[in-house]
Amino acid sequence: MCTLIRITDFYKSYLNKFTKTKRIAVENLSLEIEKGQIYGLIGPNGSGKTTTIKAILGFIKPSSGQIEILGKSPLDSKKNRRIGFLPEESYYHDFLTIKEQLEFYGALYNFPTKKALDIKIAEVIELTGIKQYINTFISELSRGNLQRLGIAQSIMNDPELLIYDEPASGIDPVGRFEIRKILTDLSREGKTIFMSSHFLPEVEKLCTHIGIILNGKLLYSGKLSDLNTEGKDLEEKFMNLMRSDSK
Amino acid sequence: MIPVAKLVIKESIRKKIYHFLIIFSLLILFVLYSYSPFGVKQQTKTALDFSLSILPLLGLFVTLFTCTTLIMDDIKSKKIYLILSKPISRFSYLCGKLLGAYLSIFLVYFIMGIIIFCFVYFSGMRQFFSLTKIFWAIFFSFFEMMLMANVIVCLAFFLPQGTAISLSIFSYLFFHIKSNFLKYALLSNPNSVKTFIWKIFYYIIPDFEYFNLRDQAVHNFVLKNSQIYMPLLYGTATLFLFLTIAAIFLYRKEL
Repeated sequence: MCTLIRITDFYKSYLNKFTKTKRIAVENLSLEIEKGQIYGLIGPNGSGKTTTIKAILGFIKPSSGQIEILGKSPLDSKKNRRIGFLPEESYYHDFLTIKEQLEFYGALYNFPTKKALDIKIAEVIELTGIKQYINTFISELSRGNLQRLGIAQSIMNDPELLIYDEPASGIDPVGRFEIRKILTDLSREGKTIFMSSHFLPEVEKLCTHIGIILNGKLLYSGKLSDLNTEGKDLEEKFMNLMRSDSK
Repeated sequence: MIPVAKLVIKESIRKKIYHFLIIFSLLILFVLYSYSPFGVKQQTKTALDFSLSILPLLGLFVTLFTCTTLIMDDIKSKKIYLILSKPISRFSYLCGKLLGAYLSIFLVYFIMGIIIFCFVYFSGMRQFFSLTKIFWAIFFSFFEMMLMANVIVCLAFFLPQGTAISLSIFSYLFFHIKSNFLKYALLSNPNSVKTFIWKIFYYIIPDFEYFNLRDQAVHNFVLKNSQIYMPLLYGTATLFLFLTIAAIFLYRKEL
């Protein structure tokens, strides 16, 4: 198997400059994501999911521990040619239209010709169902369409690894269904997906592997089927793990 | 780097306050020139002096407006996540942002420069002024703003927006008058510790008076080659110094 993400003893703490107190965000987290997996990192708000994703992408540096992504350091920007990222919220330039925004991201990938970029944009907007909004300003888009735009920009470079932070967050059931369908299709194309979520039914329907994180500690990491052997659903298992950890 | 620069220019052009600044400055120049009858050398000189004095103020406004939020806005609004998750290094991103800011400022200087040139050219008093000297005066005013852009970006990394703006304005003024402070210190007590500290400051802090060629342009004073090459060299070195400082800040920044 080919390991795309390898995290070893990742520890991250923040120091409050005023109170001089240390807050531990993630504590000695180790996990490996293999090629072809759909890995869901689940946990309540503030459990360390986004911190882990930020460290994987090189936005923050670990206080200690090692992170390797596609065999490279998270700080190596060249690795991003093979990665697609969707953040939790829609962080776009609202003075641009969808087409202009995708052209900007496409330009960062250095497409060989303008025509190649146009073809790719046409392809991703078709796949994500935002073709009719192509010339709409981002400030006028609904939450669901912003999320579709997020997915569209994340697959422009045909990445082998997708990192999604709460892809179903704030989306209505229809939107969630459609996004799940897109992610399933992407997985079928052979893409590896690493996503964080606190929406357990979504993870249960989509993921092959899961990690459960609570208060910065990874309580479980492995196949979803291995966790779910006693006939209980994921929500129940998750609650049991949380209760046993708090004891 | 180039796509980021293009985006900064697009943002500057689409923001209405930028249009307001240009229209406002054009209005000032129009009013000024309407009150300066052509054919009178002294009044042409006064109008040129006023234009070249107001140009850095306008430039400073645009620079402040463009640069205080240039990078910190991307960090606060988290737009930077979607940029730096693409194959672009933090340094290229910074250079792209600054290049975009320089070009936005250049656009203002270009428009204003053409107006000033046209005014002198068609004033009937052209023989009393050197267009080359006016060009260098405008160019160095623009160069000053490029330096200010780097200084503002550095300050905005660790200061709130309002404080960064205030300190930037203060820095701009101080960079112009710092040599006077040293002269005063040397006059009062040449061997004191205070004077020694001023001397250190003198060599660390940029001296914007090197870039001030307004007198040469307005009064047609002699402009030596060294008055062009030396500030160019000095300015480029200072530009890279502040770029390096900004790059260090950005690399250390947790996003």
